[in-house]
Formats: sequence, C-alpha cells, structure tokens
Amino acid sequence: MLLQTTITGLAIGGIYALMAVGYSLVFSVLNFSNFAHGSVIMLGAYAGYFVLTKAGASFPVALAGSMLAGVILGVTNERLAYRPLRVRNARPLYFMISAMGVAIFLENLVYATLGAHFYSYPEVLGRSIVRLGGASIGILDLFALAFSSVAITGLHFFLHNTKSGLAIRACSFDMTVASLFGVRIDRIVGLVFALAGALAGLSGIFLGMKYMAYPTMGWITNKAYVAAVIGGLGSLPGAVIGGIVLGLLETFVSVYISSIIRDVFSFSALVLVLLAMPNGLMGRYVEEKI
Amino acid sequence: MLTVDNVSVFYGRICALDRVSISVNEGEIVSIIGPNGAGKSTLLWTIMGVMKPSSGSLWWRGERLQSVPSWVAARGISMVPERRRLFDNLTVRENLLIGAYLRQWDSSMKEDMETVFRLFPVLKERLNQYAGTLSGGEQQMLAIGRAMMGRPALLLFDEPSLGLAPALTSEVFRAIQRIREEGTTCLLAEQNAFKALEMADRAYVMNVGRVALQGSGKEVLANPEVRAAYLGVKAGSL
Repeated sequence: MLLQTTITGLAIGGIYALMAVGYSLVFSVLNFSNFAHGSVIMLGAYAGYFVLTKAGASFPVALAGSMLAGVILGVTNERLAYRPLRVRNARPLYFMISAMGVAIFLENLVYATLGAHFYSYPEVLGRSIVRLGGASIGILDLFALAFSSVAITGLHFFLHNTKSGLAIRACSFDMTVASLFGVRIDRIVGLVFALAGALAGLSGIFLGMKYMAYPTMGWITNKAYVAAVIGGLGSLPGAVIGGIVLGLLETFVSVYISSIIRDVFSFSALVLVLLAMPNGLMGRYVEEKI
Repeated sequence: MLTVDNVSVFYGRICALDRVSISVNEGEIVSIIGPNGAGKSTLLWTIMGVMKPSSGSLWWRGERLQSVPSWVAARGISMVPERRRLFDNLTVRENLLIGAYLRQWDSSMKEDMETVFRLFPVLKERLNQYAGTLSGGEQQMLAIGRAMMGRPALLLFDEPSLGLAPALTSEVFRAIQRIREEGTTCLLAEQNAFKALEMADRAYVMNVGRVALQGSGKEVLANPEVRAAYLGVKAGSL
C-alpha cells in the first residue's frame, strides 16, 4: 500500500512538476505568472485527442501533435498578448492581467467551438497494470512519470549545455545586460514560450488521458501553480520539488485521510510554506534560479 | 570611429542629454567626467542602443547606429556597465561565455579566455564559482573580461572604479591601458576624474546633460575650473 501510494503520488507529482516548470520558466524570465499556461495545457489535451481520434494516429504522433500545438499556442500567445506590453516596458501586473484575459478567451473559444462536453481519450496505453513488489501500478502512471522525468531532464540539459540555454539563464537574471552582448530578447522570450508550450502539450495529453479533455481542465493547473509557488516561483528545481511534494501529499491524504479534504491540505501546505519561507522552498535570489 | 551628433535623450519629460556631441577615434582612450546625474551613463546606454535618442544621430564607421542593443553588439561595441551587473546566477566561465555570445564557440574563444586570464589571473581560479560570490574587485575584473570576450573594437566603461579600494582601482586602470595597447578603443565614464584624465587622449566634461568642456586629457586636467570642481584643488592654489 505504501509503495503503491508513493508511486501514484510520484506520477501525479511528475505531471504537476511538468506543469509547474512551465509556469516557473516564464516567471524566471518575464517575472509574471502566466495564467494562460493552463489554457495552453487544455488545448494541448484537445490537440492530442483529435490527432488520436480524427486522424487515427498512434500515441507517439499524438504526443508530438499536442506538443507542437503547445509550442504554436505558447509562441502566438506571447506575440499577441505579451510582446506589445514588453515593448512598452509594462509592469508585471499588466502581463498577469493580460494572461488571465487570454485564459478566459481560450476557454470560451473552446465552449463556442467544441462545446462543453468531456472528450474521453481512447485507450491508447491500455489499462494494463504492472505488478511491482506487491503494488499494482497503472501503465499510464508509469508513462506519465517517465515522460515528465525525461522532459524535465532534457530541459535542464538544454538550459545548461547550449548557447541558447545559457542566454535564457542570463536573461532570467538581467535581460538588458544580456542584450548588450548580442542576445536578442525577442528570440529568447519566444524560445522560452516555445519550451513552456512543449511542456504544456506534454502535460496536456497526460492530463487528458487521466481525466479527459474539457474546457475548464486548465484550472487543474492551479495546483501546478501552487506547486511552483511552494518550490519558489522562477526556480526550476523548486518547481520539480514543489510538484513532487504536492503530488505525494495529495495522494497520501487521499489514501490515508480522505480525498474530499485533499485540497485543504494542498492549500494549507502552500500557506505554511509561504509563512515560513516567503520565497518558497528554493526561491529566487538563491544562486541558481532555473 | 564613433560620432555622437547632437543627441538628446529624455526620461519621460526630464531631459537627460541635451544636444550632446562627442567623437571617439580609433585607438584612443576617451574619458567623460562629470558629477552624478551629468548624463554620462545615459550617453553610454544610448550608444549601446538601450536608450533611444529623441533627436540627433549616432554614427559608427560611416554607418548610422541603430537603437537595437544586439545590432550594436554585432558591430563590435561592448560595455562594462556601472556596478558591474554580472549574471550572479551564472558561473565565472558562463559569464565569459555570454560575453562571446555572438561568436562561434571555437578554439579562438579559448585563446581569448586565456588573454582575459593573463590580465586577471584570479578569474582562472574562480572559473566555476558563481559570479555573485566574487569580491567587488574580482567582479569588476569579470565584468571587464566578459566585455572583452566579444572582441570589441570599442569598449565602453561605466564607472569602472566605483566602490573599489585604491589598489584595485589602479589595477583596473592599468588593465584598461593594456586593453587599449592590444588594439581596443576605450570610452570611459568616470567620477574618479584625476585617473581618468591622466590616461585619456581626449576628454569631455559633462554637466547636467551637456558637454561643458572638451580637450586633450592634459588640457582638461590643467583647466582651473575642472581642478576646482572635480579634483578638489582650488583655482589659483597651484
């Protein structure tokens, strides 16, 4: 039971981490909470669904499709909603308001075009169960855990071993000074939204498979936002730790206490962490932020 | 090489630069001195393309300078900003790499890093340390090294001696002279007027957004008003 709960918790935590990393990546560079990220995740879930059902494609193709959709949406979102603010040197608050507007717009766009029904994913990964030392673990959970680990590790590798990755980390500290050495801010910001969009697409398809695709599913990502804040907004290791901690906490509370009051524990954890450590577990202004 | 022609810059309604004209010739060290708020930093940020002039023009080797930092950087102009503004979240090595962002990261870059280490050996020992953990003097050295990594033709220094102990200040000024000897033109904004004028080929004195005086470094240094205002020597006391 303990092992099973832990693995389920890790799988959920992995998806939270994946979503939280998307929030943190944007926050680290532009200093605002991109609440449109949840809507990109939601549309990524729809994209994956339609590639699977309407195009009849295989799971890897659907995965690529939802990630691509996430990239396009993320980059377009930045171009249309944030760049105009950026060139005017607007304060982060206005970015956040714009992000909320985008979230409401996209959600209602789905209501207007696809309707409010829940789209249930076909069983691509099957319902098979893996037995591991007395615990039975859904194959979907294993896949979710594997893909989020690979994606986050890949992102870490990209940020630390490529020129563009270095430029992103430099911009997260001081964009103006980075531009003095030839870093093109528009490109770097576009790249950040492309990366966050790809992660959003990936988390979208797994959320869709687990909970179905529906217009307000973007609000599940509020939990991921909580994870990012617990870990320390702007810190990628923080987002991962926050996601895992939250995933484990929720699963353990659901199993051993009650799933009804699960969210009480999540948000209490947030309040407690912020009371003790206002910058989150690995908040900004520590040595390495992303 | 660089000509700033009648440039005015406003922060909102406040005029930071009022029809400023300066020029820098190949191979020179040019110093700009003046009190806080005279517009020295604004002038450097305008050259780098971060601030946009509301009137006037900037020329670089016959080409009009655009107000786009990455464009300016690609033309071979780099800057050591005031208070260094290193990337504290990156290591010393990574800070140097960002300086070389526009170049191919090949073997020539290794050589340039060695050039920086010859000038500032301490940086080599600190290579994998975060820039935020360096001492003030080391940070200034890294800021200069970072700018050198782009192999600039013109290097702008904004208050390189700010907050440094006298011994370190001398070391930084010696480094600037060596950078010039190796072929990089230097434009220096400084409050430490004596040292800045002493080593300058030419100098400008700025006050409340205007160029108040210009001449060779020696001429400006000998000017009684400059001596009274910036060097604490009363006119007529020598």
